[in-house]
Amino acid sequence: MTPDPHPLDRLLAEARLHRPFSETVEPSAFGFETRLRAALAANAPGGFADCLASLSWRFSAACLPLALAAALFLAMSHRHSLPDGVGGLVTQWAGLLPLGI
Amino acid sequence: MFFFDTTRTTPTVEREMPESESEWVARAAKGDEEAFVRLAAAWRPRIWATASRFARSRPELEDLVQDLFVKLWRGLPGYRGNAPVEHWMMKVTVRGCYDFLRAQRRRRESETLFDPTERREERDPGDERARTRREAWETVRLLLERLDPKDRLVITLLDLEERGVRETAALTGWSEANVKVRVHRARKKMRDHFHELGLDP
Repeated sequence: MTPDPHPLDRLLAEARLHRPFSETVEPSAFGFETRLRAALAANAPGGFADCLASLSWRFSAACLPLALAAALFLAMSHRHSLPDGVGGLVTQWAGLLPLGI
Repeated sequence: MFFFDTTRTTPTVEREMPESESEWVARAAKGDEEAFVRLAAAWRPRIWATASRFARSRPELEDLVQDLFVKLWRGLPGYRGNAPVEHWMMKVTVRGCYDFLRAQRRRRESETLFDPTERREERDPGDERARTRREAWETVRLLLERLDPKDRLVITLLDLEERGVRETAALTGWSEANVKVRVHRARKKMRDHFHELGLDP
């Protein structure tokens, strides 16, 4: 003899057969296509900013050490030593700018 | 001088119509919007059916479906063809619905939406069976609202859409063991809420 199912199981079985917002009230294909094309146009990939935004945080995390290494390499190749403090760093990088500082 | 080019003829779509869905997918992946719109029309009933379990009103559902199509359009160039395209499409849909649930969670707690289309069905005379199903769905939805997004997703896929554990695991990206544990806990929580709300017959 099988035990009676929990009332929730019976409820789920009934709910499974219900189609919320059923097909009979779905928008017409014309309306659907029009809105879809508008959405695709509005979400067309833009420029560099969109490309950057699409990068994952893992990719960004992987790039961070590379960026630091590149900055270190540039610093070392210009002065053959790390700058002394914040003042030294500013002076060093200011020297690379095409300005009469 | 003519404002309209009268020499232009209407392009014949039939001439370029691919034979199979995979050809449409290949074209859409290369950025052919026309091909994607045709695919979207074919996929819409399945996406609509799944998304309708998560939205509470028709405008919300329409927005969700629209967002899912934009996700599919953007993700299509990354589709490698390792799995059937339908599986990939459902995976994007399920994950999109999960993102939607997470984003809506806070708002859902303070809002009660009213859906006029559901009420319209209620007035349909003589359909006692349909009314019972709708009432059952509304009660289930009330209980689902009290679950967290992951629990709600797993109950929807397993108990309402009758997908298997393996399929649910593939769609959500969780392990099969994780799906089993989560659905067991989610069902228990639902039963607790069921009793708390005094829904026992």
